[in-house]
Amino acid sequence: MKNKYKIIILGITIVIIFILFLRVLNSNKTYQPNQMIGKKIPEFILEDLLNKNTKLDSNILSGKDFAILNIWASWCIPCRIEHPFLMDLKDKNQINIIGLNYKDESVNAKNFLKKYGNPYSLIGIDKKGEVAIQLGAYGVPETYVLKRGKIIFKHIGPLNEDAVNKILELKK
Amino acid sequence: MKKFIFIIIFFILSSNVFSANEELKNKIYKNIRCIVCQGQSIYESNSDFAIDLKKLISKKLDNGENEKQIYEFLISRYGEWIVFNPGLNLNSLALWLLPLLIFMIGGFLIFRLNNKEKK
Amino acid sequence: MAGYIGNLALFFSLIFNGFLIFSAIKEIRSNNFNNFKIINFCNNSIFFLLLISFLTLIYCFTVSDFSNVAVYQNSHTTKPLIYKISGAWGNHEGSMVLFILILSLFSFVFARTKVSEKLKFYTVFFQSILILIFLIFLILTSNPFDQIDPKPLQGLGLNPILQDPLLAIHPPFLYFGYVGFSLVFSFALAGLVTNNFDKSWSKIANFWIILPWSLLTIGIGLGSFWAYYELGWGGYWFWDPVENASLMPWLAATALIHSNIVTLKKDKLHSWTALLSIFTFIMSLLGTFLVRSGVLNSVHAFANDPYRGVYILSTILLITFFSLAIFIIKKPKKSLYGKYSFFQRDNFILINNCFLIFFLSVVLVGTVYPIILDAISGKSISVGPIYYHTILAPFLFVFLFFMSHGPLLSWNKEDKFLQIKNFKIFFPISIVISLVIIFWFFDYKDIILILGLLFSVYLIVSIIFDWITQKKLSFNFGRLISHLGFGTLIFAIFINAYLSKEINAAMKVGDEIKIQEFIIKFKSINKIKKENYEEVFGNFLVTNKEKQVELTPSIRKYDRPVQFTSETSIKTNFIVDYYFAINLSEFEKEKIMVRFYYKPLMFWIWLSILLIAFGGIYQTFRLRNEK
Repeated sequence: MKNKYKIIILGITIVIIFILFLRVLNSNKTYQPNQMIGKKIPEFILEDLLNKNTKLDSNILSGKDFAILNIWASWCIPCRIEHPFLMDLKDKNQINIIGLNYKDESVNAKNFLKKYGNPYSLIGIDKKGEVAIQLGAYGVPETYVLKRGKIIFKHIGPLNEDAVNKILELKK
Repeated sequence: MKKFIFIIIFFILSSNVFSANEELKNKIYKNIRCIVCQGQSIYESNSDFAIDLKKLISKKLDNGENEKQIYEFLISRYGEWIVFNPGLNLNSLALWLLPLLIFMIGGFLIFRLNNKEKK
Repeated sequence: MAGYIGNLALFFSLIFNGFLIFSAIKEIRSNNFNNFKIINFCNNSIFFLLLISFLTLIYCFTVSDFSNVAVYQNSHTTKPLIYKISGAWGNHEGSMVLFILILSLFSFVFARTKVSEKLKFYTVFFQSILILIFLIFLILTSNPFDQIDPKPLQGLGLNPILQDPLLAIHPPFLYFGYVGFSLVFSFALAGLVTNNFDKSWSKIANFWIILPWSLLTIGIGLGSFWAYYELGWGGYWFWDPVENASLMPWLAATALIHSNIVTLKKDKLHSWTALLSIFTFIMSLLGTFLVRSGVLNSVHAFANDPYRGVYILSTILLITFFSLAIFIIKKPKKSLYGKYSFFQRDNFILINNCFLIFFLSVVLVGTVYPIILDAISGKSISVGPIYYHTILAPFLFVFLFFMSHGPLLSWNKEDKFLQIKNFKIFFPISIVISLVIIFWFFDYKDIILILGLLFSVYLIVSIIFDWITQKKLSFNFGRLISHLGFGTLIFAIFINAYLSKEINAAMKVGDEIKIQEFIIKFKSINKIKKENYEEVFGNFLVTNKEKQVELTPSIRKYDRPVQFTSETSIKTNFIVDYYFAINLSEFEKEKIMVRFYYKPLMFWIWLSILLIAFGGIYQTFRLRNEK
């Protein structure tokens, strides 16, 4: 094979490697497991934070057309940052938001809601974080969008404008 | 006397069971990635997530679940990445084939060199 | 003030570099290789300027000059002096200065050796292009002399885990290693371009391959040893991408050493040796990219900056393209002696190379494939130790076998029957020794274990045999020691892998537990207070049959910032390590989590790595004295 052709092939290979690694460098570094998308929400029953006699049953969520499940904690700083978005979703868009209080002290959680507002219709106490693992979550905050109990979207990290827009899009 | 012997045997047997369980537990811990850490297994990490998973796995083992079931549970929620061993599936095919291919090419070239006529 | 000097020195070295390349191109065009004065002057000046730059950086760290960004981000007034100094190269920017300094150092020293003018000219030329590329990268994206105004009063860099003696010296060894391969890279390009790639090239190259290789071996060993005593889980090698990044150039360089010897002795394999010379340095660059660009997920990687990553990626691919293009255009002609009889030393070295390249491709694929798969398809898979062990083990055994017979073969005559005779001696001895070891020490027999011991013992036996039958020991001493080190390394790794024991328990003071043949007693705790941390020691007594070992692992609480670390306690009698670590318990408040490891032959793993390196260092000194 003539040298000219070898060099061209070399050049093309290098360009391909360059593009490949460029994609790698620009890709999202946080792990976004999307295993649970499309699956039904796992079963669980938790005590409600604000009302001792009420239970948060996963079956309730199956009955709802559209709901959001938000995993949060009073000690979680990004949760404070995303909180206004949640309040807006509840007040302005009338979206049903269920909370999962993750590895928190109930007193602190209640104080958090008193201070920043309560966007949740129901709040399950996940003291040990076991339900979060059932959901495939690995940190706080994480937000799930559910349609009739099926997970159709998951956002890892605090909500932002893009995420909120996506959620509103899905509601239609 | 019989009771005493029974208790001794019970302890000997149970200590074996516990140490076998201990080995299995550690084996699984070393094979599960701590997702919020950088490259460590949950065995090596003391992060919240790692500890939560260790507790959960321990509970599942006590409930009688086996290694395969535990991995399946975790993979169904977190994806293949959480388990350190690449099984033999479509995604990991290249992992096994590429180096072998290179070895065979090398071997083939050497074979040709060995069988060339002397100039 | 010092920072300005350092920065200025960098700029001037850039200017001299540009000038050197400019003059060199003029010389090439005029085809007139007479005037080396300018080029030599530039080459020397660049080295001294870079040295000044590096020393001023160290000075800034030593006096805690926080107007300097690198010092601010990575140092602190309360750091002990040695760590202030080593902090200079422990961060990305500072280590890049060291990187470029070593590029220049090798060029500087090489220019003073006895080499034909034309080869020397081109080697310095190509090396200075490398220096130019990295200088531009440094000044544009990672300048350690960037200033902050107003000058902060205190620095940010007080991570206790990074304040460790081994961590301080491990980078320089690594760099002298894998950056050192740049010289043989440039020398190879020079040889190709001047059509001088042959036996005499190999004679000179030998030194410039083996020296960096030995230092890299030590660097890898140091890193592994650090991981062992610092990370606290009894392990020493994790197939972590950053570890792999240093192993890949090592494997390529090992193949190169052997391939070069064939070119040296038989004037054969020119193309392959040239290609390997280029490829080894490309592997070094790949390692650099992986570690610094943020693509990797590792305990170890430098702070991530994708912008920097694009720069490094482009740089590396550019260098790769041009060097391989030169190889294609100027490939050495096929040698006249093309045939390889099977039972001849040069052929066995070819086979050795085939295996080494295979090992290299396993590590390369294992490290890079998950990254690429994720980028293309979004699917993530993990590649853990089991992959490497499964795919490498069978090939390792065959490799050891070829390694045992190769050095005993003649260069010029095929001697099948001698080798069969040797086999009939080695095999029974090895089988007997391995089986004795297995049945004496091991409860269960695993085929992998048996093969691992058998083949490593076989190699050691063959080396002893070779040693005894040497007419002039000094001739092959380097090879014998390095090969012996490799044999004992594999042996120790297998014994350690199969005989290590581990015990995890939760204990409180006064507890005594008995598990397997060990009795562990938690005798007491005592606390001490130091300048920036408090330490709680646990005093443990481990009894193993009649033997008693006292161990004192600890937990430290640093105050600025608040951080807990676990310090291991390791005692060795050179046969077995008793290894202890403790952690606070999440589950039970009064108890602590206790980890005890029984680790046989760890000392022999470190000794083996030293042997491998020592053989190389001996060889380089011998070569230097021969000149």
